[in-house]
Amino acid sequence: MRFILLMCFSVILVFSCNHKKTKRQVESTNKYARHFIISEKPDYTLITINNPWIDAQDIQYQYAVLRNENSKAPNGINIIPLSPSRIATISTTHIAFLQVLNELDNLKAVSSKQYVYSEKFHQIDSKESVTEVGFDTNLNIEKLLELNVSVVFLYGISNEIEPLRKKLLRAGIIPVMIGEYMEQHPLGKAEWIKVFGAIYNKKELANHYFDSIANEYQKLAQETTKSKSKPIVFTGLPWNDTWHTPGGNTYTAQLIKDAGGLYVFHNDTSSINFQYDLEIVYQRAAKADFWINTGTAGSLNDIKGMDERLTLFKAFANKNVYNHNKRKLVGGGSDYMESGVVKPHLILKDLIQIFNQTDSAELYYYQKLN
Amino acid sequence: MLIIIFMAIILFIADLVLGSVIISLKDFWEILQTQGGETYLHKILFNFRIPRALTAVAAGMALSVSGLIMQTVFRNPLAGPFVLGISSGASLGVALIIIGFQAFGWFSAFTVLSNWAIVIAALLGSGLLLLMLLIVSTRVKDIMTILILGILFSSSVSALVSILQYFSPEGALKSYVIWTMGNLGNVTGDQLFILWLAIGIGIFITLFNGKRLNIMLLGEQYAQTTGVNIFQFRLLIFIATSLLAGSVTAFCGPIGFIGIAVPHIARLIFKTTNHFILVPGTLFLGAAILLLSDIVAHLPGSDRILPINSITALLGIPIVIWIIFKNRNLSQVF
Repeated sequence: MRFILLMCFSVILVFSCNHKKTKRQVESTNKYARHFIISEKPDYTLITINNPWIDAQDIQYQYAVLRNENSKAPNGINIIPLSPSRIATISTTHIAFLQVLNELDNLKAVSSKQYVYSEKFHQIDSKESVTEVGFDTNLNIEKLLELNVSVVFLYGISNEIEPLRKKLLRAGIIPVMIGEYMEQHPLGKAEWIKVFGAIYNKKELANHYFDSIANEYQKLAQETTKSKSKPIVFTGLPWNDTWHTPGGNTYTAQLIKDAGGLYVFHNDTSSINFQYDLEIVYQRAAKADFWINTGTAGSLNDIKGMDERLTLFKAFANKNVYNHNKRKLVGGGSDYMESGVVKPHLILKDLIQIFNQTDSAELYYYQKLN
Repeated sequence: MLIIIFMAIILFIADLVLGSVIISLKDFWEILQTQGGETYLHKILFNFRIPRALTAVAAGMALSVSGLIMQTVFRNPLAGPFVLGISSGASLGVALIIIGFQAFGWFSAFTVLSNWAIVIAALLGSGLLLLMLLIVSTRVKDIMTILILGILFSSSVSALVSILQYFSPEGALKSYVIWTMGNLGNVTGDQLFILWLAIGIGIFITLFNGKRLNIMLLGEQYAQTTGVNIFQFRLLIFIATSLLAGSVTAFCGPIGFIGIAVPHIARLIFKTTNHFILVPGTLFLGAAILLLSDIVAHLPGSDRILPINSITALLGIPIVIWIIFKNRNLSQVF
């Protein structure tokens, strides 16, 4: 009896581990993105998502988009319905991707509408109401079923997302794991448009869009290499004596570098955000030229109100403080967070203008704090 | 006693020179002698280190003394500064402004979490809970009933905080959790002055009641027969505790462990139950232990810091266990 139980148990173990097993890496044709691969099979397009969160190791999700209704995909691969018309998402960045492909009207549910910036979204919402289904792992699956949603775009920050993913599968809803936030290059994030392009059978549009913004971005970045002086830049705000700041190998660090700035933590090699002692940031950034991405602070007074000592920075004294809150709604919806993913060239353009001190009225996402 | 005062002074200086940026004693001496210097070490010392060390001293003193008087008044070795619900009340206030306003879309003046907003929210929260307990305590004679009511109030408030946490977006949740881990480095300027003022008054009230605290150890009924006005005494002690523990919690977040452990350590070191010795003893011992915790939390020489709450517990618990094994019994005085 014990043997049989043991056998059953091991069989369950083997099967439950199966879908995550590392498969041989397929050569990626992506220019910047590292966390997905799209490959064409005779009957379907295979989308492979790799390690979509920070601690993920050898985690892989595979999805098939069938050529037509009669095509078939191997077992164990989730099949995404053809051009899904009833979808939900838990991230506003996904809304930006959908909007570029003009597929936003398929969106029936989001986590919270107040965090969405997109004007187009709010137009659709006013016509036929989009439903709120809760945050992250607290997603209301019954509601999703009632709405007849067939695909949910998810993101995970750890494997705590797994139970939710499995629950959705059991409910017959395909959870598509999107990991664009893991990309370290701004164009890597934008390249995820290709995943949405594959799902909606708009590959050409997606490729064309990506190539054109990548061109634009590289052209701008190329020009900054000509200038000799590099302004020193630091980012973020402290919370409780600790300064949360991106590592030297992150999205933000890359943007600063491409815009011709020198990030105070550029020597750091990590690709995640770090906590530094306030003293250390003061030591390194006291004389920095520019202070950007000041979180919730929308004015110099806000910064002063958080901590009087923040006024000691040279960038503060010279009023060279900028935040990406020009396009932000009262409810919290931030366009920088949302459409910034698909328009990294505009972020770069802003930063170049900031570092060269050209007219700040021209800025798109950023504004100068007063 | 002199040894402990000396230890506190040494640790105070150590806290000033040790940190992410280590200041050598020579530099330290030079910085102190130059007036209005503009070097970054000078700025680090005056804007970061000195306020933090002064906060550590104030918080260490306040939490330990309020723990001592709570243990005496409730005649319970497990009592601490937060039995009256101060930290849970403060947590509710802070959770409301950090999480509540985001989770339920109440945006108004609080889109930016200014330092004062958090302090005021914490004060309002703990003040409200304390007021409820005071109103109840005028109707209840038995001190143990008040202790139980305090715990019940705290639990129900914690339940409300859990609901807020459940509905909170991740960013806000993290901000709140970090607040609950305590922090000594955020109090500067006016806030530091207010903190010291509140604690000064609290300590004064405590010392003023030293004799009555000694009598309380013999039991409330006995104290009453010697002419102590129990209600007046309780009111004064509750006010002192809320000034001491309430102000520290408002400015630094709920810093645990110190308040429960330090009074026990003091009793065992001084081998007395006399509050005229115990109160000053706890004051300096509390300051010294929190300064030591702060030094460890700043991991001298590294770029990172650890939350102060984890350090007070990790550092303090072995001390208490060691004392228990040495003395076997912590509750003989009660």
